[in-house]
Amino acid sequence: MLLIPCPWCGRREETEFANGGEAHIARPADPAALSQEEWAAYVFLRDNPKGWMRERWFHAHGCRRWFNLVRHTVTHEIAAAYPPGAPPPPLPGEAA
Amino acid sequence: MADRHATMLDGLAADMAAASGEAVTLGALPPVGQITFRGEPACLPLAAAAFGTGVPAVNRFESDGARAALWLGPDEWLLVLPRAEVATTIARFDMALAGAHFAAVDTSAGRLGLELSGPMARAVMEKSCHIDLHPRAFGPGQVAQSTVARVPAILLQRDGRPTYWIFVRPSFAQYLARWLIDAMAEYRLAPIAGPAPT
Ligand SMILES: [Zn+2]
Repeated sequence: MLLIPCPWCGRREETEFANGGEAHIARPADPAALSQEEWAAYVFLRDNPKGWMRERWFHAHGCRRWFNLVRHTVTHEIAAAYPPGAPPPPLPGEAA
Repeated sequence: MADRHATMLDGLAADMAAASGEAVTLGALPPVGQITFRGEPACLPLAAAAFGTGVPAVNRFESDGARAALWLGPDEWLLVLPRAEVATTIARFDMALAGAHFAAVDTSAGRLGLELSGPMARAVMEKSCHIDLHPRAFGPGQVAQSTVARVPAILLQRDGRPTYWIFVRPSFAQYLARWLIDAMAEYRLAPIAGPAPT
């Protein structure tokens, strides 16, 4: 069971949250200009690293807000939690 | 009371009373008025003044007795007040916050409240809820949204007895009341008299 630090409510158990997949996927500025392949890549293609990852999480049973988490996909260690709109922090071991 | 609404919990009043004892009591709160308030940060002090309480801090509620403002999120409160005052209170927000970006919506029908109180109330809650309710982490004046017996709930602690108020969707209220009645049973066991069973 993970203890996840919601940026607003504090540390809560994992059962209160829903995972929203990879963070910082920017919607294309002009979707109509994209090819089918580019649109499919935007909609479906995601990184699946074995290691540190920036993810979106939803505090479903708490404040019902989205936020971002830096989580290690193997150890489940959590390095950072930050609100949407905040600049993505460097991953552990990565130069700032 | 003329304005006492019938609720899903009326049929369980006798069962809840029978399950209650010195260690822990369970009962339905009278149906209260509820306003879901959301607003930009700049308007929150004005909103609290219009409501008549302080601005609730993170994970806490402010109460003057008859009214309470519960922190639910960075821009969201649940306001609890007598039902008869809901419409006038929303009208007061419209006056006091004119021009601000906010919404105040009557959600009185959206939740029913249960009160669990007594020296063993925390022990009952700890069977059903992931929140750390130990006094070092949770005390009077605090509120949390979580799940209680797997039901989404708003939980607050009124006093150090401790007394908890639990607000849930009306359709979950009977289930939760029955769940708590079951969880309370062990604290009503009388001391065993006479020879122990063989
Ligand atoms: Zn939260």
